[in-house]
Amino acid sequence: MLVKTKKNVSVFFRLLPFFLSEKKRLIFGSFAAFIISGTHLARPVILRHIIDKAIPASDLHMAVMSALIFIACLVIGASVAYLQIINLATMGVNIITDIKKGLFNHIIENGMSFFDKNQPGRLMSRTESDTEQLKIMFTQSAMTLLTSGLMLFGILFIIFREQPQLGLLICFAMPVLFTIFYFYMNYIRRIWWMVRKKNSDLSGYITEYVQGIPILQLFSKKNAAIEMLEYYSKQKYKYEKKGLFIDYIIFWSFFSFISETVSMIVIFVYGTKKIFDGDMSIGTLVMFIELLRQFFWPLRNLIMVLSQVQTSLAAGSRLFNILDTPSDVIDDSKNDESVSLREKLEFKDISFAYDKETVLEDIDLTIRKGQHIAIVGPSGSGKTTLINLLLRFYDPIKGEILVDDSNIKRYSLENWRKDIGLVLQDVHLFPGTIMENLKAFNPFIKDDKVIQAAKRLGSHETIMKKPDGYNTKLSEGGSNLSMGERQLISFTRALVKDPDILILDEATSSVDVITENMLQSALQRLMDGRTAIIIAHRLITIRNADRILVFEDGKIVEDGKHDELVEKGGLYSKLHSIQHVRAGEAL
Amino acid sequence: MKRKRPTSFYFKWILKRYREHKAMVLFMLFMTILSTAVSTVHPLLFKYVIDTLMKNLHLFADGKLDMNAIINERNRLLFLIFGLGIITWITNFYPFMRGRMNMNFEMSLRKKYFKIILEKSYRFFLKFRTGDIATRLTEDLKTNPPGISWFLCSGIFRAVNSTCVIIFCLISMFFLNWKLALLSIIPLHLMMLLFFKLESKVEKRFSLRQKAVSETNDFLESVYSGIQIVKSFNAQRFQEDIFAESLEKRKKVEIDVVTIEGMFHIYF
Repeated sequence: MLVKTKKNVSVFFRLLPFFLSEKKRLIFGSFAAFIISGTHLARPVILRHIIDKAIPASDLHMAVMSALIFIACLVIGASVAYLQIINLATMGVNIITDIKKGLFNHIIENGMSFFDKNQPGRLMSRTESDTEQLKIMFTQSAMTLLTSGLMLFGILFIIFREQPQLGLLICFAMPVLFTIFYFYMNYIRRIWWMVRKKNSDLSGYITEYVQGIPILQLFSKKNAAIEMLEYYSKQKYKYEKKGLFIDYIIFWSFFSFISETVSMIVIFVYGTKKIFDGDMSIGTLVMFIELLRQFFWPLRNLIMVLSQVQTSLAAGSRLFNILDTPSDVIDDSKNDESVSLREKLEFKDISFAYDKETVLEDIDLTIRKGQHIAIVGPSGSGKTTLINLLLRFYDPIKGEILVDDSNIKRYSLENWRKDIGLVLQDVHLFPGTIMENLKAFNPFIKDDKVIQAAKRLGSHETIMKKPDGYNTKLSEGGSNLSMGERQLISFTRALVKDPDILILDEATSSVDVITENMLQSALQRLMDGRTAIIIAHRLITIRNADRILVFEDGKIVEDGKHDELVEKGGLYSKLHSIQHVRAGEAL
Repeated sequence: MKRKRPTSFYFKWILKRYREHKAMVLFMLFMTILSTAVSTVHPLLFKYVIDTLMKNLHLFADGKLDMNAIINERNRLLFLIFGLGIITWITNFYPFMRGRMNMNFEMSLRKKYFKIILEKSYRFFLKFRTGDIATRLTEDLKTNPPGISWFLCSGIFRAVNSTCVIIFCLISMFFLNWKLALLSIIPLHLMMLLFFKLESKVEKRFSLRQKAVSETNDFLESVYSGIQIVKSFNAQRFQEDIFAESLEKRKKVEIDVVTIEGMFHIYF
């Protein structure tokens, strides 16, 4: 409990500078809170004046004037409240936009191990939901705290001034009410947290199953999917119903009975005697009834805000956890020199482990400029890790990678990656047009350069056949393109970059054999004159490689040309014969 | 271009949903009228209490009423206040019933539309992104924050409730003092005018905000799941710029919504 409180306090102090960056809005907000509370509190006082002074004296002028002041209070209060709503919303949006930008920038600059630990869905939730939760604190919570505090203080001040005994009674009742509210809020918050959790389970289920609808249709699993949906819906319903029941049937009914009925009875019992003793006017009684009715709401708001603030601070703490995570790949090179592979690329005594699991061990490898190197081996043998190290998605735990005898860490990450093109099995296309994707959203690349690259690779005609050519908008993940077309786009994207080193990680594995054959010529054009590292499962695609490296358990176990390796009778030969037999069976 | 359906289409659609839950809808209607009637009695009782007090005070001052009679009278008034409080307590169960019905609608509508989507061909999924479909089946159908299910029960019954409040209040106000009642109708016209003027704007601004939020989610999902490509193409800075630009646009959309929402909040 104490640790949690300390943590919340530290999060609050870290958030404070964001508040202070909006100083003017904060000052206006505080000023507006005073006006809103003041105009609110003035209304019962004016009512008393009308009842006690204007009506008994039959003074129409006084009554009209009082009514006009009452209306003025209403209008001023409402106008300032409106400005306050806009002011707070602007303040909240400004602050949260800055936080979102900072968070997003920090996330995407982080190393790949960060992304291994945090799935996209979780990161989305941090960037969007948690920041929105924090916005509530910057907007509603902060000002409700101030306005409600002022209202409570104002109500107590008026009551004490008029009837100190009644004021004392309220002061004694306040801690009791505060405690009841506090425990209730904490209890109900847990239920609503469960509702949110069940809702997120339901959303997760829907997203997952919508993506898999073609599979469900294929395997006639639609009824099972509906049953699962009902299960998740009912789970959410169960907690939501419980929350509603406690909220409305148990608590708010009781609360409204206390604030509307019991408070009126107390005041009435207390007031009538005083009235008939001549110690209180009827106007004052009306004023007290009105003030007491108002008294419960700021009290309720204060507790609600405290509960909201706790949730917001928890969201803030999750955000700071991310912001405090340093990137495991440090780009501290001051060297602005651009990289160009002149002679060779070397992996010298490289070892790497994900946490404690070693995936590469003592790798020594030299790749000459212009060589096409193929890497094969069973899953988990360390093939992809090798290229991840080359791209500096991770840094090795031992050894170094050299380009023309210089450690790649000498160069800035940006300059180093500029020299490498990456094509993956799962083609990732971003929301936007084909042109934007081919440029990888780099606004400095000219359209002509892209079109030339597409013509060189042979993808220009395919793109031009699309409804808006290069300006065709892509559906999610490029789903309005065939698999072959998507891969062609990713080849072109790599060619636009014009790198010295090309990495192809199972680049044609996700297409059928006919499309693969069609893509092979494009691939050949892409690799022409470049150093290429090709990871492949289908050995037929790499038989012409200059060198084939066979990986097993994080080590290079074989190295040679296709024919040599087949002859050798080792792991490669085994893999080759398995695929050969399968191909024969398929025929 | 998106085809706008006639209003009658929506009415028919709502009626169809109501037919599926006929008994509950009728019970809700009864509860709406009852709770409105009870809430209208509150100011009448308050008036009665204050008037009685004033009358008794005059009688007491004139010596026509002694303290015992006053206490008896006070106890009678207290009994009335307490009785009305108990009835109000019972009618406070009404929001719970409304909430429960919202949830029933949410469950049945989700099942219904999920079934329909399960039958769709691949062309449908080319047109609509997974995120969009998931949003339609979750956020748009949700009870809280308000979605279609909320609208079907709470939204409509709140409107029925408000109409009943206006009618009951007008009746009792005219009964009390017709001149004051006429005066208090003036803001009603302004409210109606404001409502009809702003209605289409509200709809437009809310859908713009919803679109902006969907776009942000699509963008984040795409960048986070394609981080290898982003990094290998040194595209972090460009993605940061795109995100910053979309957030700046969203800022305006968000404030536009608050501007109009605030107007409703304050005026109504």
